[in-house]
Amino acid sequence: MLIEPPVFRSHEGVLDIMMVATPKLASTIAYTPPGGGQTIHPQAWVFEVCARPSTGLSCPAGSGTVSPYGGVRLALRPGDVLKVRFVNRLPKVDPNKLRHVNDPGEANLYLNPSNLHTHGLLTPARPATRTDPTFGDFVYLTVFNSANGLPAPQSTHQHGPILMDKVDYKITIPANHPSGLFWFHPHVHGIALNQVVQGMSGLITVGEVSDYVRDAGLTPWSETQVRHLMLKEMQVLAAGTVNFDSGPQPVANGEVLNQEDTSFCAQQPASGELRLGACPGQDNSASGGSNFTGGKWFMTVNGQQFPSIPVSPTKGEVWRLATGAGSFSWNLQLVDDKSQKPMTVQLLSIDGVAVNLPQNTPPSVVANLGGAGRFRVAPCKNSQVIGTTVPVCVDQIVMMPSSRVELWVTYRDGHGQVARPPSGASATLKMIGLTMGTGDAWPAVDLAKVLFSVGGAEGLATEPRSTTLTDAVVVGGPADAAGVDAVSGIHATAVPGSTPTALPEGCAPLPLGHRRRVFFGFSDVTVNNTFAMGYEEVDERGRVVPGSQKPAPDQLERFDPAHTTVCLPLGPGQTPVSETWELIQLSTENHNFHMHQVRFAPADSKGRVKQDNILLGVTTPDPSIADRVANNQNGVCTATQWRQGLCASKPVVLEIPFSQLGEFVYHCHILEHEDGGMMARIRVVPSPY
Amino acid sequence: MAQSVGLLCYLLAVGCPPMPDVAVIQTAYEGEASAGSKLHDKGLKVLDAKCHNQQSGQFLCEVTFISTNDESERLYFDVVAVKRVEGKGWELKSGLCKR
Repeated sequence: MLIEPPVFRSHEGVLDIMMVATPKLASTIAYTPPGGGQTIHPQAWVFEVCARPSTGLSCPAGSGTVSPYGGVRLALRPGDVLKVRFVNRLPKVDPNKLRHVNDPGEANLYLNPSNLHTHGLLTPARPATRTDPTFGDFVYLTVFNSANGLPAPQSTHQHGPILMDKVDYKITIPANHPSGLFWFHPHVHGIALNQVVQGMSGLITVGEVSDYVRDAGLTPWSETQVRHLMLKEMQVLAAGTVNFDSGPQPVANGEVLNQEDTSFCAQQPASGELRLGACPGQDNSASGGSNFTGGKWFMTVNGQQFPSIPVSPTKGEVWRLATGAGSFSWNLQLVDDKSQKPMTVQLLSIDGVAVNLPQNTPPSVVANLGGAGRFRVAPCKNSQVIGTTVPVCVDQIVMMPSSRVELWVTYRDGHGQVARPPSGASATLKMIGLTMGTGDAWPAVDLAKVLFSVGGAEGLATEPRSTTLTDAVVVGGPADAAGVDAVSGIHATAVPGSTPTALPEGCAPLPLGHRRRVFFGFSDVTVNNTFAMGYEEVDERGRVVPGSQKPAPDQLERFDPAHTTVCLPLGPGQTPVSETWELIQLSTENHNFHMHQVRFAPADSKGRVKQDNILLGVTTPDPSIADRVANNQNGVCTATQWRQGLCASKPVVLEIPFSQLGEFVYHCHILEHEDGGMMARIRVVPSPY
Repeated sequence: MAQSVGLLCYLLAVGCPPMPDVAVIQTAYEGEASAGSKLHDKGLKVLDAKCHNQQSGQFLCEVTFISTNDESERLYFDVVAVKRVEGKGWELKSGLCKR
């Protein structure tokens, strides 16, 4: 049965823990090498978590220290302070198996530096000072394990502060922070994919589900009917040879391929093939790729391979789904085992903020919730409008890297109506496969068995068996998608601790009517995987503001932490400031825009949802250049071609409220692309007024 | 006192400690920065240093520093290479930079 992640809860407003990044065998993953032999538990990289000891950099032995591959949950409340002593005990990596070790300034990546990012939390990206030597959510710092040696000084592209062995974080959760689901993971440019894929991630929750979900009788939703699901994936190799950028390299039985090969498995199972929590490696040598025969790509829920999930037959459950994948995108359906049709579930929250959909919400907004392609909206049968929010149901969910979604899962009959399940009713949570434009083709695998049993234990805890069928839930609360913009919401109130300060050079407010335009593409379209971003400012008439283009007109640049692309001040009175950003895709492969420290809304959603990542569609080259783009430009247009109208790309326009100070980043959250350079530096400073 | 020792070592290669310390690094930095070295950012003050012998007279030093014109006294952390040069005292072989 699916096991909940271990929880560390705040007490009297504080959660003070130590998190040690360390190698550990993933006991919940069992790999049998070809030809039989002893079962191998692959080596994962995990966060070993404990209450912060009074001295030392090790967690004490005992039940208070946990280090599951599936991850832990940090349970916080608005107004809490999260204190983390982060310690790096990761092993060195073979540089021949690292993609970016030869990139400018990245020669130390093989020493396996790491850090911590509290993804989705609306908190300052604060560096350390003499008066407060802790860091906020500051992803530029790197912590090296001194056992691996000291990093050699680099002359360019230095990531940020370099610390040995440990760093102290102090993350203050604002009192008006939305209640919801967030997560944490490392964020060192160039090796983020490797560390996340090898297991380094976990959940953060703020508040309770009952803050924004009630049953039809308006009783706050019980935590006993809440389940947390963290999806992870890991490619485990059979002994042999694998092609890396450095050339063919030997690999051992049970070795984890953390640089990931997206063609590890066939995308769809063969006829009669069962894929329960894993798919078998395939031989790609005929096309010049690696032979993964004998290997396995595990796809787990809370670190478990194909667990069973019993769901209350009368109340259902709230599922809080997150993904700890690096580049992998999930395309999820809950498929009724009898009818083989996708079941409907009710959507409650996106990326940690409960939805708020008034009755006059246009159908087009509902159909494109979270951006085009993120959800397949389905009729919400027998749901009632109780309160202000219209219920929204979906029967297919795309979770690109970093997405979170919260759902009400309960048995529904063949007509989509909430009903009492027949005896033995069950469903399968499936990843049905997903292709990202001309890019990655993610494979189909069954993830879990859901049991809507009429007998057996109800819910997650023993409680008196309810016989009343819950046929609707009500979504909404003071910090939902509308609440964050309301008078006392985090997007409206003055930013704590910010005082009038002269503007640094290069920082200026965006003039009224102007927007920021960001390009997603390659720095050199003739060289594959030169992931990069470009920037320009556009005035109210759609004209590019002279001198605003970075790095240069129609050029894109791979991430250089020394370059700040955008610097903006808060509004007068240190109030949050909202800007319009326009995202332009130059690739025929999907990307996934994410920005730290914010929650944005698609411009056409009128703020009814808030999210922190959004899927970007692909560009369509004109037939006159389609062959050239496909065969000579690695499937990527240039900015010039787009400007000439030769590459059609529907801009994704966002309204982004900036309510947090600090230095942070925006990037594609497909970590292969982020590590490859599709990231840029942004800074928010106090207003001078 | 520590600053005087550092200056003597930097200028005259006299009385140099066996291992670089805060005073040595600060003095070497100031000398190089004022001589127009493009390796370093200006106006930095070293607060702490922990050095490791890499052999051949070269050391890697974990350095904590601030910018003297920054009221908030933001902390910077870096690893710099410091080398003992015969007859010349100590030199910084990598940049001391705010990042």
